[in-house]
Amino acid sequence: MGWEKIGVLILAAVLIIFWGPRALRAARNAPKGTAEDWKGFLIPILLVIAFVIFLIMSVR
Amino acid sequence: MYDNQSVTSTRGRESVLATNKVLRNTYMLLSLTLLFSGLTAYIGMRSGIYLGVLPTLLIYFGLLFATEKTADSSLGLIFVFALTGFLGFTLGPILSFYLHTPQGAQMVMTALGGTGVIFLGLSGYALTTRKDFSFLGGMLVTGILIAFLAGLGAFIFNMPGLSLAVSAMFILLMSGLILFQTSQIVHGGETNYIRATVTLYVAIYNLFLSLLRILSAFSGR
Repeated sequence: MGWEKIGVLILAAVLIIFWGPRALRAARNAPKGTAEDWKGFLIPILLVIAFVIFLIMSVR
Repeated sequence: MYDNQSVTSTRGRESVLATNKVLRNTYMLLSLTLLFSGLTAYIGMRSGIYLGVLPTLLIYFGLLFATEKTADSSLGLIFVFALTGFLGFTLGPILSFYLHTPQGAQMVMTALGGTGVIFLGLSGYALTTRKDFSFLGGMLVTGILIAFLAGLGAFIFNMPGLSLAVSAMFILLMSGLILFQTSQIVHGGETNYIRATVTLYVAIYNLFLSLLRILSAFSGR
């Protein structure tokens, strides 16, 4: 393992230490979405997935 | 009664005006930073300088931290251009690599156009439906951390399959981030246009790179 990969490994550890607790706190304190909210999110996301599949087909 | 209604109506109008101002400033700054990073990407391509993963990440996090700390002052504008200019510059060698592959130019243009369509479509959806996507906040923070760490793992342990899975994850997470950030501006959850610009810029940047990676992998080149 080269010096750069060791450096990236250290950076990953630093991220887990500093960002990890913040991420957990944010996940715990975030408002919970209703079924209707999630439906409003899933529709555009499914359209994005369909569009990406279309782009993949177009470059094959 | 009339006075109360009048005060409420005036406050409501002020709030809408403030939201529109943040939205206008965000899209204006986002356009300028995208143009600027296009220029620095060209410089990066011409120079052929490749910084490496670790220096790129260290400079990126340094500039991101500086932008975050100065976002409430005019100094934040300098850092936002430094950050987006730097990210554009790091795109240079990547674009150069893809452009030298067979039909690479077509792939880059497809990824660029695809990114534009996804960004405009999702922003338009959040703006017209005015849905509140604040419930995505926790999932996005956790998801981005996991995807980022998985991406670092793929780099450290040379796992192209994991790298591809991370790209797919990033497309979904960045799409969610665009919805979340746009809805935050619309609902007054984000009142700082510098922070909003950085979030949207990073989402577009990651969306473009992830799309390019996926298209390249599935095109078999």
